[in-house]
Amino acid sequence: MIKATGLCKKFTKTEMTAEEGKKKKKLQKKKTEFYAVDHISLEADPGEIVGILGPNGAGKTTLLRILGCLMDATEGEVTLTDGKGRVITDRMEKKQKIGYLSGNTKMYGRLSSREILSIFGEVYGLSKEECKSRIEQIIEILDMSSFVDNRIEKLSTGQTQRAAIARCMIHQPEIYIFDEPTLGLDVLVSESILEFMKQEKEKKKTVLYSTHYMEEAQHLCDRVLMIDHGKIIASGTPEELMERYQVTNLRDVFFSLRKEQDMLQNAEKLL
Amino acid sequence: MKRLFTLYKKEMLDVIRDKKTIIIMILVPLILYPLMFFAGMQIASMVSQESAHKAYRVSLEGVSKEEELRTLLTKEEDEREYYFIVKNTSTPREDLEEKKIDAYLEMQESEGKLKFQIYYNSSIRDSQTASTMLEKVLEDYQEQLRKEKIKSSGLDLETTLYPIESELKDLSSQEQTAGYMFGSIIPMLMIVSILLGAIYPAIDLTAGEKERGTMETLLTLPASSYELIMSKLLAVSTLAMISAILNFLSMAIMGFLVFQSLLMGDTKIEIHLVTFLPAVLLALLAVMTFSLLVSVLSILISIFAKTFKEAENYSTPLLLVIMLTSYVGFLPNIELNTTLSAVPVVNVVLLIKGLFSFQYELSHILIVLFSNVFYSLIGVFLLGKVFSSERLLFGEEGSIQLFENRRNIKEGQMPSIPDAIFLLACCLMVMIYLGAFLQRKFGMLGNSMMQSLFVILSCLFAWYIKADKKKLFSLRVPKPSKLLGGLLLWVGTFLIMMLLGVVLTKLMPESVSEVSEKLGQYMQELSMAEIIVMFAVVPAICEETLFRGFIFGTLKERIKPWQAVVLTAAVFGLYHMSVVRFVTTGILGLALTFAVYQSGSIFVSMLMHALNNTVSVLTMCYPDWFETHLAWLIQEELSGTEVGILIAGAVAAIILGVSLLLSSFSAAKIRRSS
Repeated sequence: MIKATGLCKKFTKTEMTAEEGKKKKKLQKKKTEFYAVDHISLEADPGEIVGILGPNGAGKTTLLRILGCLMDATEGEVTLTDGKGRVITDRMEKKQKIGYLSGNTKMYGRLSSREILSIFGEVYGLSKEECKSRIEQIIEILDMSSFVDNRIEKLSTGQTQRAAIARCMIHQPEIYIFDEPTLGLDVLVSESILEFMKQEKEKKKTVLYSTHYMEEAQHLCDRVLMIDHGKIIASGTPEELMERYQVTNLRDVFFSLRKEQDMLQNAEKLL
Repeated sequence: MKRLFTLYKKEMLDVIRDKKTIIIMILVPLILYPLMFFAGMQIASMVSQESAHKAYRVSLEGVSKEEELRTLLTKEEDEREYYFIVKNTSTPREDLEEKKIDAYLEMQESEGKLKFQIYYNSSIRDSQTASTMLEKVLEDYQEQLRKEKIKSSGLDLETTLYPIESELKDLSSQEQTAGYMFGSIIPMLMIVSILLGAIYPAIDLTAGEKERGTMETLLTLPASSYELIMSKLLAVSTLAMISAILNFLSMAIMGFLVFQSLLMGDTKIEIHLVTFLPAVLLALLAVMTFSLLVSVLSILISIFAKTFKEAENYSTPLLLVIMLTSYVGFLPNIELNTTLSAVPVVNVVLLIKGLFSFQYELSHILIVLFSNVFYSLIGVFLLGKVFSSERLLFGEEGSIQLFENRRNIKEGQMPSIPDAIFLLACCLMVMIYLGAFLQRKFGMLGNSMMQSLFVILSCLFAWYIKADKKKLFSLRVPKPSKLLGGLLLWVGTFLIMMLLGVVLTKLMPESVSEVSEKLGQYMQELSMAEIIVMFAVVPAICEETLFRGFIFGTLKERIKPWQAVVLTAAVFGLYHMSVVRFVTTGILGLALTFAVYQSGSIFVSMLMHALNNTVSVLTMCYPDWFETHLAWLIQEELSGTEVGILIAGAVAAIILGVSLLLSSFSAAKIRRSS
C-alpha cells in the first residue's frame, strides 16, 4: 500500500519581464514561486489500479516523481506499507519496492536488454543466479527472446517498450508507478502495456498510473483522481464520477469539473 | 560497495561502446603522435638541407684591400657550410631591394682602422643569414690582421693574443640534457591527452545521459546520488588513466626512437634508458592523481549542461586554462618548489619536467600527490552536492553568456558568475604569459601595457554580452560626501596596512624587499612623473575597472552584497600572488570594494587606489624626506605609544569614513525611491 499525505512541491520560475522606465526599457528578472503539486493526499491498495488524470502541466509527472522517490517533496510525506503491515520510510528501501516507468525513462541505447536487466537486477540486490533465472522468466513473460541480446538502439519502438517494462519489473516490485506509459505509442504496443498492468493487478500489486487519455483510464482504473493546477479536483471510481455529473464518459466529467471551477472562480471574483 | 561496482560496470560498458571515446582514447596517441613526430622530423631535415652549402651573393663597396677579402669570402671550407659569390654592381642598394644580391659591404679607412658596414634586409631570411655570415668572415679577417701585426712586431703570437684560456665543462649527464628537452614537451602533450580522454566520457555520462533521457531511469534505482556520481567518476577516471598510459607509452616509444637517431648521428651521446625507469614510474603515479582531478573537474562542469553540445561549450574554458597553464613547462628557470607543488596542473608539469632531468625531492612529490588528491576530494564533495540538486537533474540552470551568439543576447543584461570567472581566467592568463613577455621586453612600460589589457578585455566582454555598462562598472559621479568618506576610509586602511606590513616584514623578511628593489631599479631610469603614472595611476584605473568594475559589478547582482565585497577583496588579494601581500592587499581590497558598493561610484575607489600607490611609491623614492618630516610612516621599530596612537587614528578614520559612506548611501536610496 502506498500512502501520501499533504504532498507539496514548490518550484521557482524565473521570468524576464520588461519594465517601462523613465527613458529606456529595462529588463528585469522576476522570480515567482508556484506549486506544481499542491497539498495532495492519496492512497492506493494492493490489487488496485489508481489512475491520475489531468491535462498537460497539471502536475502529474511531478507527483509521480515524488511518489517514486525521484524527487523530494517540499512538504508532506510518502509512506509505503508492505504485505506484512510494516511501514517503510527509508528512501532506498522504498525504491526497492517500487517499479517506475515513464515516457522519460529511456533505455541505454548502447547496451543490450540482457545487460541492462542484469546490471539493474544486481543494483536491486539480486544475486547473480537469482538475476539470471529472473531474466529468463521475464524473457518468457514478455516474449523477448528474439531481441534480448541486441543493442537497444537497434530495436523497434515496441521492442524497446517491452525492454523498458522488463527493466521496471526485474526486482518484483510491490508497487508500480507508470507515468504516461502509452504516450506516443500505437494501439498494439499500448494495449500490451495495459494488459501488463491488468496482470499485475491480478497478482495483488498496487498500480498507480497517470495519463491524459480519459477513455483508457475509464476501462482500466478502479479509482481515478482528477488533478488540475496541482490540486485534486475530483476522486472516486469512474462509475461514481460519471453518475455524479450525469455523463457517459470520464472526458465529460473533466469538462463539467472545469466548468464548475470556472464558475466558482467567477463567483469569487464577483464577491 | 557491490552496488557501486555494478554501477561502475554499467558506466564503463556504456561509455566504451561510444565510438568517439575509443577514437580519442586510442587512435590519437597511437597514430596521431607518431605521425606528427615523423612529419616534424621530415620538415626539420628539409630545412637543414636547404641551408647547407648555400651560396650568398654579396657586393663590396669602397673596399681597398678587395683581393684579400675576396679570397676570404670565396674560400670554400669544409666546416663552413656556405660560401659567397662576389658580384660587382654600381647600385648595391637597389640590387638588394630587387634581391639580386643578399647583402653588401661598405668600407672606410680612418685613423689606421678599417670601418665596415654590412647592409642587409632583416625581413629576408637569406639576407639576414648572409649578414651574420659576413660578420663572421670579418672576424676571421680581423684575426688574420692581428696575427700579421703581432708577427711583424716580433711578439709571441700565442701569449699575446690569447693570454687567457677558458673552457666550459657541463657537469650534467647526457641523460639530464636529453631529459630536460623531453621534460618540457611531454608534460604538455600528456596533460592535453588526459584532458581529452576525460572530457568526452564525462560529457557522455552526464549531459549525454540527460539528453538521451536515461538519467531518470538511473534515478529510479535504489542507489544514493553519491553512489551514482562516484560510479561515473570512477569510470571517467579509469578512462583518463588508460588514455594517459597509452599516450605515455606512445611518447616513450617516440622518445626511444629519438635517442636511437641521436645515437646514430653523434657517438658522443651516451644514454642509459634504464635510469629513466624510476622517473617514469613516479611520473605515472603523479599522472594518476592528476587524471582523477581532471575527471572530477570535467564532470563538475558538464553536469551543468543539458545537452552534449552545451557541455562541450562549457568545457572549452577548462581545456584552454589547463592547456595554457601547462605551457609552464617551456618556461626556463621555473622549478618545483613547495608552493608550486600545491598549484594544480603546474605541479604535475614541473614534477615530470624535473623527473626527466633527475631533479626531484621526495617531499615535493608527496605534496603534488596529496594536493591533487585533496583538490579531487573537494571536487567530489561539490559533485555530491550538485548531483543531488533536482534543478540540475530535471530543470534549467544558468549558462555562460559568452558562448551565446551575440545576436541572441538581450540588451542591458548583467554578466553571470561564470562570465566573471572566465574573464578573470583570461586576465590571469594575460598576466602570467603575456605579462612576463612584455615586462622583459619593455620593462615597466610593459607592465602598464599588460594592465591596460585588463581594461580592454573587461570592456570587450561587457560589449559582447551587451551589459548595462553604467551599472556594471558603477560609472557615476560621486557625491562629495561619499568621496570624503572614501578618502577617510583609505587613510585608516593605509595606517592599518602599514602596521601589518611592519609585523609581516618581521615574520617574513625576504619577501617584501623584492618590490622595493625592483622600484629602486626603475627609479634610476625613469623620472618621478613617469613612476607615479606607471605605479599609481595606471594600476588604479586598470585594476579598478577589472576588480571593482566587472567582477564586483557581476557579483553584487548575483550573491549577497557582503559576500560580493569579501569575495572581490579576496580575489584582489590573490591577484598579487604573494603570501605577504595577500593580507595587506586583501584589506585594501575590502576598503576599496566597500567604498564602491556604498558610493555607487568606481571613481572613489580609483582615487583611493591611486593615492595609496602614490604614497607607497613616494615613501620608497624619498626616504630621506619622510625620515625628517614623517618618521613614523616608514620606521620599522615603533614604540608602544606610537602604535597606540596610530591604531586609534586608523580606527577613528575608518569609523568616520564608513559612517560618511553609509549615510550618503541612505540619502541616495531615499532619492532613488522617490
